[in-house]
Amino acid sequence: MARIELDRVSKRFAGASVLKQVSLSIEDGEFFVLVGPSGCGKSTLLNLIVGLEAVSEGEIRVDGKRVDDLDPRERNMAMVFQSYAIYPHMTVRENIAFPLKLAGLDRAEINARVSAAAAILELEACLERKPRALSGGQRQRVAMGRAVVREPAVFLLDEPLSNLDAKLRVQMRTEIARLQRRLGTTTVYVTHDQTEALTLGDRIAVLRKGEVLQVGKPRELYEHPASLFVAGFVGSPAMNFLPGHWAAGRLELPGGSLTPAGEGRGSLQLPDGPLVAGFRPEHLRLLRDGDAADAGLVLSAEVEFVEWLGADLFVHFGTALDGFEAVQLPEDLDIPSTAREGRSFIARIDPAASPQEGDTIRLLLEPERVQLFDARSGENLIPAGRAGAAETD
Amino acid sequence: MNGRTAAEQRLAWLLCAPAVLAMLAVTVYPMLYALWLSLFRYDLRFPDQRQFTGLDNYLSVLTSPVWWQALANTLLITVASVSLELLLGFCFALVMHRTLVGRRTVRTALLVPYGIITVVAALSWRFAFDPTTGFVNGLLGLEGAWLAERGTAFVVIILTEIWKTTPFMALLLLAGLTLVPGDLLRAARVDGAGALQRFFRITLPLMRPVIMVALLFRTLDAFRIFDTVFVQTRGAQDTGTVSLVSYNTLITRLNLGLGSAVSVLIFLCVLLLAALYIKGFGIDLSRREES
Amino acid sequence: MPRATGNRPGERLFWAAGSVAVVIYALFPVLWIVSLSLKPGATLGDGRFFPHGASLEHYLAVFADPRFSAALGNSLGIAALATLAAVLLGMFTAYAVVRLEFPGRRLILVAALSIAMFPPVSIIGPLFNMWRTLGLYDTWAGLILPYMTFMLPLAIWTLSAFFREIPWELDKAARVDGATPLQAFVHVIVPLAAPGVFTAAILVFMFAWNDFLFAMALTSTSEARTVPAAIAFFTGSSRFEQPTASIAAASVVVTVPVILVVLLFQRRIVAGLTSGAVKG
Repeated sequence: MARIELDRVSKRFAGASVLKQVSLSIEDGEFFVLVGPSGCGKSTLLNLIVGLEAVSEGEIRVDGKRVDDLDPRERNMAMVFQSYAIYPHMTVRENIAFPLKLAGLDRAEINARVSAAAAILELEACLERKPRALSGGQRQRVAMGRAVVREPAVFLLDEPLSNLDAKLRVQMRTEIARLQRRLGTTTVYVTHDQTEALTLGDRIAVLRKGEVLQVGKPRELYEHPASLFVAGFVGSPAMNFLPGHWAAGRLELPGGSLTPAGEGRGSLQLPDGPLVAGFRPEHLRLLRDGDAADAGLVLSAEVEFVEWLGADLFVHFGTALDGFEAVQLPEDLDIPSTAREGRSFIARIDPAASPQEGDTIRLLLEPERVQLFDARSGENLIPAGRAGAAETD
Repeated sequence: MNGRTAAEQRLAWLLCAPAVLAMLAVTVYPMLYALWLSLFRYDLRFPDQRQFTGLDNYLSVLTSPVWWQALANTLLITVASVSLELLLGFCFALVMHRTLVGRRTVRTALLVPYGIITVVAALSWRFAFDPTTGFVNGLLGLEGAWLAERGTAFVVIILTEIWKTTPFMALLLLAGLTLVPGDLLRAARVDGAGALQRFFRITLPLMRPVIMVALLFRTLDAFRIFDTVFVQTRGAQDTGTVSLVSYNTLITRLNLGLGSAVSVLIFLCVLLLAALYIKGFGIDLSRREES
Repeated sequence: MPRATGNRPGERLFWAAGSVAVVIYALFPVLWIVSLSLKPGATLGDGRFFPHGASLEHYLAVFADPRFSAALGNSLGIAALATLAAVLLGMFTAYAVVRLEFPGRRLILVAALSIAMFPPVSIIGPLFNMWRTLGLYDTWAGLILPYMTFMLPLAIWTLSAFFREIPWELDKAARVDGATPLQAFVHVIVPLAAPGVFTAAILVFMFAWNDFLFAMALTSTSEARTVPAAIAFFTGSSRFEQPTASIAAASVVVTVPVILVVLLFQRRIVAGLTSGAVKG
């Protein structure tokens, strides 16, 4: 039983504010992901939850009881560090047994629990080895074993997969998810990788520069991002953004105009003025010669680059901006510079098609899927999107 | 957080204090005391005749041929041994670096001269060159006592010093060699550089910091030489070094006043040498200090 | 580890021959003194490298001499105590320098550097007089104090270099695992620091074992005279016989432990020497 509440938690280091009034509640048994670009404060938040750092302001409560003035050893939480932090002078068995030894359990109990943990993590063959004889993936599992064996109320994982190679990362991702479902322990997981966030989290909190931008289920963040940053951060390949202008109920874009339709978009009351339109690569449809354009905007796209992946086809293209100023995206979004400067876009189309570099193709942007963002604040202007925003102030 | 850093600083000073105190008490204070003593005429055999004489002792020393001879000897030994050590040390370092077999054996063997007591090494070499009990004369078909004559005595002294201290130099240079990235040398090879060119234009410049530090410490060490000379000649045949002069004056003849003047002069010489090295070769000591 | 770039048999032979040459270089004075110590008294003047028939008479003479065993005892005791003191003080200082933020961090390293460059001969006069007044002349303490001081720079550098390599973050993991700061220190930090401390101790002990100058200046009898000083004044088993062989035997006795230490701990010693000087 462990429900975690963060109540207006702030943290300052040497005058600089690292976390600003963060409020979150994490349900018992939930796999909760903290995601954001580097420097957003996610690891600091984890350190505050476990007690390695003290809060500057605010409270942290577990099951209603205040814990932010307790030592790490009194909080009954286990942590897996990014560097694993396993003890190089102890064998795998001794590493896993260490917390139990400190807790004063008897030999038999310790052995039983260590064997159980080793079985779950497939470490039985390595028990008598020392860390330097292990591979990266094995060391990571030892770190997890040490956490699991304590049967704590909360698991905290600080970017546990970032030191592994790509293939191992995917494999360990599913193992972690399975493990958590099996054990049912409340888990707080920190990562900078939005793919991990989407696949692992029951709910995700997106952090940026010490503030929570949005909290919600993966699907919510994907389909109704509360801000331009969240929209650009979540989802790979990233969302495309076009500069636009709202006038008399219609969205003026390079290449034409569009009347948004669908959920929440039908009767938008917006002041006339500039805004940013966002659309995901999969919301563009390739129009072949002769295809009629239904409702929606047809973009004339000049193909720059084609990525065929068998089941997917990604087309990198440019399109005339017709006097509109290209959208400049935030620096901390991890996207290529051409995309960040709003000059290049991606479409995901039918893999059977075979556009060539230099071709000009026609892409249909459907009015039901377009997102609209305020040109200055980045806030999602569509009501359903705003509903998922975090209650921070 | 101010509280934390203040407590941290107090702890730090608490931890360092014993070491700092020891270093101050056993070097700074005696040095000042030596300075003080050097201003007196003070012979322990006639302690009541102690009297203040100002800089007279320094005058005595600086006008004494014994001192200048000793200084010349010391410089001779220093220059000869350090330069030969550097050369030989480099050869050894290269051997250890390039050899595929027995690298560990070679390293272990080289630690023996480093670990052996200097007095034992000096005795071993002395006995080797002894006309009666030694084997060198027999080997070279010579006769005569090497240590009885100034020139040949220096040969023995310098050889002993080189033998004992080259291993340390070699180990340092080996460590410096391994710091040179293999990729750089391979790239140079592809660019057409020959072995000697690679050595002088890439390896040596990259090893410069290590070499400079090694040279600094070895030079200071060599300047302070005492054990070998004492054991092999006791300073006879005009082979005395400055340390020996100081020892003889202070401990053998118990002339604290004069001896202290010699001590202070030696200290100044070492200071000068160190300053020359640091200024002249631009050794980046601050880099050593801050890490 | 970097490999020889030339694989031609000629080159390999060249470097292998070089290795052999280096080993001979390193060991022949040691072999010579062993040979001398085994030469029967009558053959001492035969001018040969190897002994003509071996004899242990000199070793027996040496061990029969009470001054030698006294000197051995003095050397062992003084070096051990000086090592203990230097390593202890060095550990505290190195820990502070590596882990804590405080002004004067640099100053301490500069101070250590200065001591390393300091000429010990300059203070034998004052120390001689001071020790006479304080009653420390010809005592163990009289040698332990200067040894400890001159060994501190080496200890501080070596320990700093090793302490810098320890992943201190592990004590965070230990605290999360449920350890008190003391438990974290004992179970995690101490085992990781131990090898470095051991290496520093070896290097520092060898330094004290070797000293001649202070021993000569600050001692005069078997009370505190250490081995190097004692050997220099050896007169041998009889007044008329050359003390050469006795000295040789004594030297061998004193060198054997050094060789053993070097053989057993060569990796540590090299690591300590080079990390302190190159990276430090």
